[in-house]
Amino acid sequence: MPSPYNLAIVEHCSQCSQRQTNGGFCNMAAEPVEALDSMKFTGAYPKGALLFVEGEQPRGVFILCRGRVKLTTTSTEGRTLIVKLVKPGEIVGVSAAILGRPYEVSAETLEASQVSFIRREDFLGFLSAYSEACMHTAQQLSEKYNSAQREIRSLGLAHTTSEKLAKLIMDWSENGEETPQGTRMQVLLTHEEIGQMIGTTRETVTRLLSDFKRKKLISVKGSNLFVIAKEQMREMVTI
Amino acid sequence: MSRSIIETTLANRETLLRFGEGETLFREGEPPLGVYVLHSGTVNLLFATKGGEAKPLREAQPGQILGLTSVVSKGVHDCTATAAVPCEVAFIERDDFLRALDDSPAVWFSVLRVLSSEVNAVYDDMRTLSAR
Repeated sequence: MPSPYNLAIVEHCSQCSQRQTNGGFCNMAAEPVEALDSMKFTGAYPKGALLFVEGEQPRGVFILCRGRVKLTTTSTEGRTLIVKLVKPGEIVGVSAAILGRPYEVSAETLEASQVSFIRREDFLGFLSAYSEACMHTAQQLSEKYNSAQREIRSLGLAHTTSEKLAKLIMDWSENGEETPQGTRMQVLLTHEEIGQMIGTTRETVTRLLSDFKRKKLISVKGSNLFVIAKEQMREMVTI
Repeated sequence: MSRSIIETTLANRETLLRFGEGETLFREGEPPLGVYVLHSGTVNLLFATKGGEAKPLREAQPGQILGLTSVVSKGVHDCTATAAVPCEVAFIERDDFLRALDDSPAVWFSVLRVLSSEVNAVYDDMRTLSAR
């Protein structure tokens, strides 16, 4: 029988080959991992599935096992803003679950994903039983805080949208691969989503990327983006 | 509530520091020496641009804990903290703070509540900023 959305679903964290790669929650000691296994509900979701919506009462937390998820919020003028791209091993919905307040962001899958759900009361009990889980949760909350701070820096300090886009590309390029064609990175986001990361429209992103290509700062082949003129791109970023 | 649990538990590990107006508690990019609980006064949190220009991020008020995310994530300070007016601050050295968490797991949950509130506050800032 084919697996849902072609995902190789692994029901038990203790048997998951991604544990070490994902790190954090996935790679805790045997006892908390066993406890985690006993209280989580694992599911497969298609691209575009909403795990929770901003303003909804917190039912629990979600651990991303495989796939990608975006966290979005809505600006005071109604614009959607991506606050974070979530990687496997990350847990989402935590601050709402801990504070018992509505979710501050919405979580939506960017591709077919395997996600584990833990009910709020079970998660709080888990935290009080295992300080290792508290430590990983604290680290993930700090990471979310730092990621949002970086975005605030970009939104608040960049002089132009062009600078914001150049900064985003340069941030991505830090994890890129050096090739003879330039620093290569795979961008699996639509222009609309890139716009939501820097607070602008799809049309502006399309126009600016064309402009960057025309100036031979970058080149694009399929989902691969190459930074050709790293130094010039860096000079565009003043923040 | 959460902050007071943290403060009570850490009271015997803290050092009381006073900062004059304009004095710096910590600088962006530096590894954290510890956490700072602001008792009185106001602290300006600033970002530095590539050219070295300081841009205001927000103000910290009494009761706030500064440097917590950097200590927990073992990262560096993401902003510079400068006293806007004379301030009184309880400083807890990084290793002492982490030891206190190990010794008293109940404090962990209070720390998680503070961090959760900080994450929510920074999302609020994003919503406001992106509307400008």
